[in-house]
Amino acid sequence: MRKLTFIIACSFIPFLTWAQDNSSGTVQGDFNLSTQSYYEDPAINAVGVDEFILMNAYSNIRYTKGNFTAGVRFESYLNVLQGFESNFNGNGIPYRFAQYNVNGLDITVGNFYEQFGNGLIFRSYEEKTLGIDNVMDGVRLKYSPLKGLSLKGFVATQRLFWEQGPGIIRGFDAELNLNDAISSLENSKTNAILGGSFVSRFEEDNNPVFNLPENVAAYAIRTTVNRGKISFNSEYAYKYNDPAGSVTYNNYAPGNALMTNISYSQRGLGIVLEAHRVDNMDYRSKRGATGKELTLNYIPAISKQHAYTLAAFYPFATQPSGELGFQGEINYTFKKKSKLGGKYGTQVAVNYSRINALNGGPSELTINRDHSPAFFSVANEELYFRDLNFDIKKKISKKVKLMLNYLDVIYNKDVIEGKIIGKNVHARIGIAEVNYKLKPKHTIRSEFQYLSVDKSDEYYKDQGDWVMGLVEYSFSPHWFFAFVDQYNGGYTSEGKSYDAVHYLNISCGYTKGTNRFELGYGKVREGIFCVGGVCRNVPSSNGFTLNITSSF
Amino acid sequence: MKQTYYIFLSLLLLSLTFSCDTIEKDNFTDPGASFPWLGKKVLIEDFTGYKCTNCPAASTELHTIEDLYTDKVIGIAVHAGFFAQPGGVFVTDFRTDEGEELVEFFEPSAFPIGMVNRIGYPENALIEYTDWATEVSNQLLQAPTIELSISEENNIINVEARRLSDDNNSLKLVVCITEDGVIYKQIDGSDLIEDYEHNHMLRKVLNGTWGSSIQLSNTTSTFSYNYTLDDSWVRSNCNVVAFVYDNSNKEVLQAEKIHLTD
Repeated sequence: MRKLTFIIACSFIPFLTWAQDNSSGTVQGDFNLSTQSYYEDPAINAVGVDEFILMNAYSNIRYTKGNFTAGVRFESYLNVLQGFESNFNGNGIPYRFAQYNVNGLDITVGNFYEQFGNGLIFRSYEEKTLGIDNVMDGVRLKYSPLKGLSLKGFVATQRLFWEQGPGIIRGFDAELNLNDAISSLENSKTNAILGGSFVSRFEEDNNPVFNLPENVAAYAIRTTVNRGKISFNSEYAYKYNDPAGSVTYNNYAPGNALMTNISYSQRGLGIVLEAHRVDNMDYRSKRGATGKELTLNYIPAISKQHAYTLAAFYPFATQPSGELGFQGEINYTFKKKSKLGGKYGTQVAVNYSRINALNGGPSELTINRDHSPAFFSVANEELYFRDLNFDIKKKISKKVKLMLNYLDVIYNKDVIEGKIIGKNVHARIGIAEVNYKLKPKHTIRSEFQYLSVDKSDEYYKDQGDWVMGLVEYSFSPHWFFAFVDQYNGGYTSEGKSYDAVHYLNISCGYTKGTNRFELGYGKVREGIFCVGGVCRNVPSSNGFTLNITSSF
Repeated sequence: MKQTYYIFLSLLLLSLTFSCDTIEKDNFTDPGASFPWLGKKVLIEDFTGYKCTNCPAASTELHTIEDLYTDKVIGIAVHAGFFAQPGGVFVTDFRTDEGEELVEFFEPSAFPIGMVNRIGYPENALIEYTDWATEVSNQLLQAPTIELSISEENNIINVEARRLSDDNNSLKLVVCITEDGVIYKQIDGSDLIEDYEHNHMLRKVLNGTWGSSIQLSNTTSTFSYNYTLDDSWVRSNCNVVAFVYDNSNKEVLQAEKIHLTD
């Protein structure tokens, strides 16, 4: 590792020589390593790998001096862990940049991540756990010419594994904070921000049959208004014709998205209401790209992101091609010493979300068909997802904390996972977590989770019921030990019977300073893993895992 | 300060002039484009499976590309991997040992995906179907380096080949049987099509997945292969496909196809 750090640090020498004086800046870095061994285990459909052990690792190194920052990230996938794209295999430095700020003009050359507004037309981000890194490579400028007005602009290409996608992307964003810009509004109780953005992709048209647009643009306008306890946020985006580039079928329909949320918060009470409508908004830096490659935009998820294992068993993956969704959440804290609050207070939350298809499917404009879905249609549309969940957190005594969770989920496996079952899954999930403080620094945490699928003919039984138990003992600040068992009682799918199986896992972790080591052994069930409505498939596996993280 | 302000102002104006091309409906397609063809045929290998929801779109694309460049494009539909695994209503197994070996080697992860002359190996051989036509038109414009022809008589296939260039790369010849018009179930989007017509289906590679090593010169060499068709295959729907590739980078240099007759 030292050698590696040394090599990477050496790559800063050119930047260091730019420095105008000899006072040293600061160097910061982090390191992350995930390795796993894979054994064949027919009982859970797990396969072994020829390499025996696979590894994903990366390290960020960043040098800062005054207004100047430069950084690199070294990534190593030898070979990439299962469930990630094999195109990542190899070593390299896919991320390097230099950035400086002079008289308010901020210049970045090289790689950068950026987001305009909520991301409806542009969001460049990385999420290592999903295998997503759509970092840009080019030039970006940020500037504030007037008080309250901030401008951003860039011209860049986008990362595709170890190469760059073919599209050249140009983007511009302006944001105006009215209270800062207009002196008479400076002391107003209402705060308002307006924003607008424009993105255009250039890609050559080599299609022998169709005329394809070489410049595909999208724009968005947004506003955020806060007054006292109420906050309102809305953004509308429009994308011009963006056919996939096939020689047989091309959809020239434009796309659009509208999202709105309003929230109210005061001490002990929070209410959030959200809605969004998305039509034909899969925008990428290469026409026709699929999977998680070269995505230019991001549609924020409109369902609750659950953390408990079985609560996240049926997560919703946002459908950028078309969906209409709503979400509401109320958080309330019963005060200390009240009837329901008890000695320490009680927090409760209720959340409901529902997402369905657009009427008649997303917009389509082809040689043979011209279709625009109705703006609002809920009742008879195909249901994609529905989640009603309750959450209670209660401190019972100085030593005991209790968390209870209940979810009622309807999950359209066909749309979310691309299957053809013809029925939805209806699952009810109950979860209880107890934290018990044995003595200062010693805590035992236990979870019990149960997932039951609706067995009526109306619904698909999928893999049947699941039970999970977890016991974790932590001796802070250094050690933790955990034991987890997920149990499935067996099921039949496509005429094949699967026996009951225990997915046992044991793990322990040691933390010292900023170094953290975690060693585990066990079975992982097949499933989908999501962050913010973007998901990846996780294959079943059986083996040891070793994770190390560090920073300086 | 003022100067940077102007830079931004001009950037803003520049952004407004970014062209955004909007194509009107009357103008969606080009009138037939023609180009000089020198004799190189192109092989498209389509990794597919009856349980793959988007595979019919790729299959239609392959068909359209064949129509677009009549007799210049040869398709092979490789039914292999997860989506071709029998299960549930899908009983008949269309997988072949050679197809499975190709999947294991090229590692397609998301179906449909395919290869055009296996260009781009090892990193970028697998390309999405929406990109096939572009790669095909690039390949068709190249001058051929191999000449290839096939004839068939009494269940013997003769492949004649010679070099058209001075290259001395190591060559391999693959000869296989494909079948069109196989009527069987297929998932298409969210529908199950009971009587879907499967074309270009790889049935058998006669000389192993990676074919036979051959030495070629400027004069014609002939390679012969015996074959028998499985009883379940319809002879009049079957084709013989032969192709020669460069063993060092797997690139297919020439391909040919003949249709078997009763």
